[in-house]
Amino acid sequence: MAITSLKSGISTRSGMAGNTLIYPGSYDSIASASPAGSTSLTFSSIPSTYSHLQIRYMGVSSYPLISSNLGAGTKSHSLYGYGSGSAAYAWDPLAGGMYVAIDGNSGNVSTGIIDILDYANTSKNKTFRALHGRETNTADSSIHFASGFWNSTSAISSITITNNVSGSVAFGTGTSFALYGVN
Amino acid sequence: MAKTYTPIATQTLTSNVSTITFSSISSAYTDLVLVASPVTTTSGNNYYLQFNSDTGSNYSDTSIRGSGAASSGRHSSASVGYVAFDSSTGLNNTVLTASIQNYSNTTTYKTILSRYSQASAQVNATITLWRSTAAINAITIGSDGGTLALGGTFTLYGILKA
Repeated sequence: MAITSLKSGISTRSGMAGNTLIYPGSYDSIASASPAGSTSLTFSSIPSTYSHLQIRYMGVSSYPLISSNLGAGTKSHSLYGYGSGSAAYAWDPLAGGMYVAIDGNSGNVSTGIIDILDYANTSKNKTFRALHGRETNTADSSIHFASGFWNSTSAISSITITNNVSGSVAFGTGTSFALYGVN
Repeated sequence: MAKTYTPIATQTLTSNVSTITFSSISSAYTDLVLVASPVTTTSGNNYYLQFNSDTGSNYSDTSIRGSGAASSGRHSSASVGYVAFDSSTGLNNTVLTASIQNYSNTTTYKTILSRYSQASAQVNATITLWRSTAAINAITIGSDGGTLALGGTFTLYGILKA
C-alpha cells in the first residue's frame, strides 16, 4: 500500500525497494518572540536534536549582536555595502560582541537570517553566519554578510540577541524573531 | 515542534517566456522563500520581482557583488524589485534564493533578502524594498532582458513560525 501521508509530509511513492524514500519535513519551528520594547531576547532550552539552527527576523533597528551560553564570542567578520556607492566594505568588529549586522538606523525595518551550523556538535567550535539588509530607497540602505565563532566545543543551548552593544536601545515595534531547527 | 518549510508551487519552463507569476498565495505563512535556477538567453540581464501586479516606481534595492577578484556595490530605484544582477547566458548553474519576510503583514513595507550565485561569473546579495503595506498575494518574476528561458525552475515555499 502506498504511503500517502507522513505527518505533515507527503509521499507520492510507496516504500517498496527501488522507490525513493520521502521523509517528513525536516525544518521545524521551535519558538518565536516579539521583543518590541525590550533590549534583548533569549531563546533558551534549545533542544539538541537538530543538525542546524536558523533564526529569521525582521524589525531589528540597531546594531544587533549575537551571544549564546558559550559567551559573547571569539571572532567575527563582516562584509557589507551601503548607500548609493559602488563599493563593498569589510569590517572586523568584535567590539563588545559579535555583530549580526552593522545597522545604525533606528527608524526603518531591517530583515535577516542567521544560520548556526552544527550547534550541538561537541567536537568542534561553533559558528554562525548571517545575511541582513535594510532598504529605505535612500542612501541609508545596506546589505551585510557576517560570520563569527565561539571558541568552544560545548553545545549551544541558548541564544541571545541584543539590540546594540550598549544594551540600552529597545527593539522597535513590529520586531519579530523566529527560531527553526533543521535536520 | 511544528513541521514547516512547505512547498507551495513549482514552475519549470518548457519554453521561453517573458515572466512567470505565482498567484493566489495563501497568507497562512510567516515568510516566503523563492528558490530558483533561472536561465537567460542574453547576457547582462537583471532578474526582478514584482508584487501584486504593481508596476509603479515603488521598488528599490541595494546589493554587493563579487566577480573574479573585484567587489562592488550598487543601489537603484525602479518599477521592478531587482534581486539578481548581470546574469550570463547559458546553463550556468545559477541559484537564486529570495526570502520575503512577514509578507502578509499590512503594517510595514516589504523587504526581500536574496542571494544569487552564478559559478561561471559572480555572486551577489541584495536587499530589496517594495514600498507597500499590502499583503503579498502574487509574485511575478522576470528579467529586464525580456526572457526567462527554457529550463529555468522556480519553487515557492512557505515558512510558518511557532
